[in-house]
Amino acid sequence: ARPLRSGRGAFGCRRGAMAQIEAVVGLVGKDFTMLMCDSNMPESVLIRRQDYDKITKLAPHKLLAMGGDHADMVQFGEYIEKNLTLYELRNGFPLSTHAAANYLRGEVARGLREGGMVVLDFLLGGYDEGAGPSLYFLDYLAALHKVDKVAHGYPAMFVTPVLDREWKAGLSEAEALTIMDHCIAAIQKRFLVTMPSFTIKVVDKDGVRVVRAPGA
Amino acid sequence: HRSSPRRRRSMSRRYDSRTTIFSPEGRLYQVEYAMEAISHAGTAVGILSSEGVVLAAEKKLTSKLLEPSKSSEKMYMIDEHVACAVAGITADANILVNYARQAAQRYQYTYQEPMPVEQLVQALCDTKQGYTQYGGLRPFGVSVLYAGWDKQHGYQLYCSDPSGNYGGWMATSIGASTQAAQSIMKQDYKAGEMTLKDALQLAVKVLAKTCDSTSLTADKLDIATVTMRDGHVSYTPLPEASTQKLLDAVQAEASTGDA
Repeated sequence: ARPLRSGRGAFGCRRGAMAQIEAVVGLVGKDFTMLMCDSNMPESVLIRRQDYDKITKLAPHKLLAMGGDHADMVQFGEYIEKNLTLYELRNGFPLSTHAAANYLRGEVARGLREGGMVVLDFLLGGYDEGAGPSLYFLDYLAALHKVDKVAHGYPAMFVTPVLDREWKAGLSEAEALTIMDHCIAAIQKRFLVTMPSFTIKVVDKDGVRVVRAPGA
Repeated sequence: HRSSPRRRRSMSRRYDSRTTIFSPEGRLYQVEYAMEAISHAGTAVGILSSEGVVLAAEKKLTSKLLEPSKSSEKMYMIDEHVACAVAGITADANILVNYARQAAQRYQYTYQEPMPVEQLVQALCDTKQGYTQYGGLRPFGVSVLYAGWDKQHGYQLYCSDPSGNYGGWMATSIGASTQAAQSIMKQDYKAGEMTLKDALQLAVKVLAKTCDSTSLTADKLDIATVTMRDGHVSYTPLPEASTQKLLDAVQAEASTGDA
């Protein structure tokens, strides 16, 4: 059954207007991947809460930042997390970030074909021994790209120029955080929707870490 | 079988025709009979080395009138990084090889990465096991040797049988004369020290000693390796000339005196 609240986006699919409003930003540093989301949970024109965490720990070395339908965020996020855990239990080793990203893409694509589409934009950040840190862009139409820096949603209009200008290979965590603060400043200055707080998390060889808590 | 006029005497015979039930002694007769069928098939050996995995098999030439075919009935590539050798009913083997190839591509399609070798083995074995538990169909009369490489565990060799059980091996054999083959390999295999050349030599030696006919010729042997070539894994069937050279070396060693 199609929900009533949102209109039809491209392809006549269930695309909430709210999906494009959320800020989801990521970049790859020297030996870590950093993801950032705004902490708003919107509901039509109301802000339900401003300390919502949209970045899930999918596995010891994988982070998934999501923007879009909040019900899907919880259900789909957990579905992927559990399936990744199942793989590791069955096979004795975890999926690589590359494999997990492609698996994720396949599930989003399946939702598109079989009904029950997943109205979410994703950034998957991971760390693998050997490959190092990586970042994958996946949108709600199942387009997957491996990238160094990227953002989803309307805020991407303001954030992309900052990332383009300031990102370089081999960033330290402090430098990366500075870039994220510049992204936040651009959003808060120019974007229609107020976004007072952002969640920032990092994944590196030691696992997943919260750098800025939601609502901070 | 119900309306047969002849009565079966022995107790265990009653449990033969159903694959999906145990005998009173706790055995699955159909599985055992399948293994019996395999023990008449051409021997195949697999040997692990630090530089790759060797698969070697003896082809049963049933008739001189048979067209020599390009494809082997013993050796198959499953994916670029996994190959297998089979022993048993060829028609059954074809089904399993096809299934394995599909499983490998399905995994590659989902994860955009080659399927880890053990997972491929497990997928095939889970299928084989199904035929021993439900459906009322007979088990596959095939044992399989799997040779492959993946980034988790490097070079690996596995062996599975009609029951759906499998094991990881350094050296093993399937088909006829496996006892003789195993004892030779137990003697000559040096764990951790085998090079690809050693493994090839040992494989040919084992087949030469266990084969039916007194003279093993290169056209009766199928040998393939799974090794790194230009930085990626590849399955390479040996050309007959190389097989002949190995055979000559083995026969020379045998004639100068046994170990």
